[in-house]
Amino acid sequence: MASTSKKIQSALLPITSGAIILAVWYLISYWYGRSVGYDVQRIIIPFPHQITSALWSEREVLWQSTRQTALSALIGFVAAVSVGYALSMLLASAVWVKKALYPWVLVLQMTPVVVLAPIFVLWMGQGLPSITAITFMIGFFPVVANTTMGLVSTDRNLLDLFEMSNATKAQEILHLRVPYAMPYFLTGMKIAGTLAPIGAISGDLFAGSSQGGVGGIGYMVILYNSQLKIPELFATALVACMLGFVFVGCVNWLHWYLLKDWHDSARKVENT
Amino acid sequence: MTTNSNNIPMVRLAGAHKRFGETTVLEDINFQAAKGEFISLVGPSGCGKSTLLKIIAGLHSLSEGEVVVDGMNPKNAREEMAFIFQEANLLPWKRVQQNTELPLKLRGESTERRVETARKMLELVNLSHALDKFPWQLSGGMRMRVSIARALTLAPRVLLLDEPFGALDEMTRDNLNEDLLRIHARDQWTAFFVTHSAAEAVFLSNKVVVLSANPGRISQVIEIDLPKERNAELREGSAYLNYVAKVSNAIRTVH
Repeated sequence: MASTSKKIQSALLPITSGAIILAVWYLISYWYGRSVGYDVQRIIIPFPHQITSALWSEREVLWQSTRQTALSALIGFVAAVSVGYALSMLLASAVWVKKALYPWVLVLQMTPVVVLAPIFVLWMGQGLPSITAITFMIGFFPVVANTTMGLVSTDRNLLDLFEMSNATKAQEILHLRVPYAMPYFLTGMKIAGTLAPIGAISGDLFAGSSQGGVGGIGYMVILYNSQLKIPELFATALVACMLGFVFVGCVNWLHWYLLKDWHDSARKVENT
Repeated sequence: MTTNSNNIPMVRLAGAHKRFGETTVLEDINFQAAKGEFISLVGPSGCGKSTLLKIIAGLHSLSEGEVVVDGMNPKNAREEMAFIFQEANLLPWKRVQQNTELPLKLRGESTERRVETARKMLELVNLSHALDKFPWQLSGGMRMRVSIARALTLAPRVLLLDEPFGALDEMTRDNLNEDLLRIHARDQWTAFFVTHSAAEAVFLSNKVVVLSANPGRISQVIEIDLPKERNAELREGSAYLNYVAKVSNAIRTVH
């Protein structure tokens, strides 16, 4: 069947390109090792199998550090989403509130988090509180910007409909503005979800601390780098990438699940 | 046509002006509609038909003059009015049943009453088979039927329709017109119906109000003296076609 062969094709294409990339990688590593010696090659551009064996030998350390980072990312993400949502409701409640507060939200957003990070460490010390605060700062703005946009752009005709029904302000918010803003909010949440692991890892670079020699992913990056454990460093990159995938996957699933019944972005274009 | 000059009019506009900033949208509108009348508002684009409808609904206020609905200020008469919009204007996240129940829900009616009334109204517009569908699963005509059912749940005495069938194909539109007349014969609400189509206006109404543009003024009120019982056959009769020609001509010459 045509659709089956298409499926095979769409699975085969990334596998093939992946194999080519691996082969090129091996070639470069090999060529580099031949010209400068394999001891140097190992700490500049390790063979892929050296990376996977580092991944295996460090598996317990990396698992522990991934859990630490995932926890910081999750707490920071949840805080960004809930505080962001609450602030959006406040901003959308009246025009004067938005006028009064939004510029300051922007100021906060425009200040790079890397500049604020040392200040957080100063206030909260090394460790989880600072790391989650950094994650929060990174994820918070997309939630606020998108949700506020959704809350204030409710369809005029729907508002008229509610007015004709003598709806109270509370009913208008609960039954119209909040569900109407849902796709916008979830878009903000998706962006925050993508940024959360990045935030937690960057947070680690500034505020990471270790427990028994193991810290978060960002901490391990610094540690491996200083010890010239480069295959381990690559393995850490691999782990960080997988954490990102898991995080974004969960958030995307939530987005799809909440909108699948009615919103264009989530349902299949198919009329029954 | 209903003639009850001794009755209090259901809707009355007297010396009504509407300005948006510098522009006068409606000028000196004087008009009244008795209970059960079906009034169509026609006229070139920008003549303020929709604005007039929203003034009766109390969604816009007048700059000058008076509008009275059943002896009240429109805002106080909301419970007696329902508005049907250009698009079906359904909540996309609610199923047909819940969409129909919405006005009752907002009014705080009990669940049983809500469910029962919505069912009845959906039956009236032949949608009993689609209670559990989402709006995106319906055709444009079906969505409009839901919108009509929703408006009827509150048993309105005045129904305001803002070009409700403008985006539909001709056959769907004709069917909906016939359904609307059937329900009107049953419930006898007073209707204000904005449309671009002379044929639709003549088919539905006992009076067609022709507005001129810039500013919107009543240029002519054409009484449609056709039998009350109207069906598809009426559309082929010469009396009907003469009225359509008359209304089209009136719209064309108001510029």
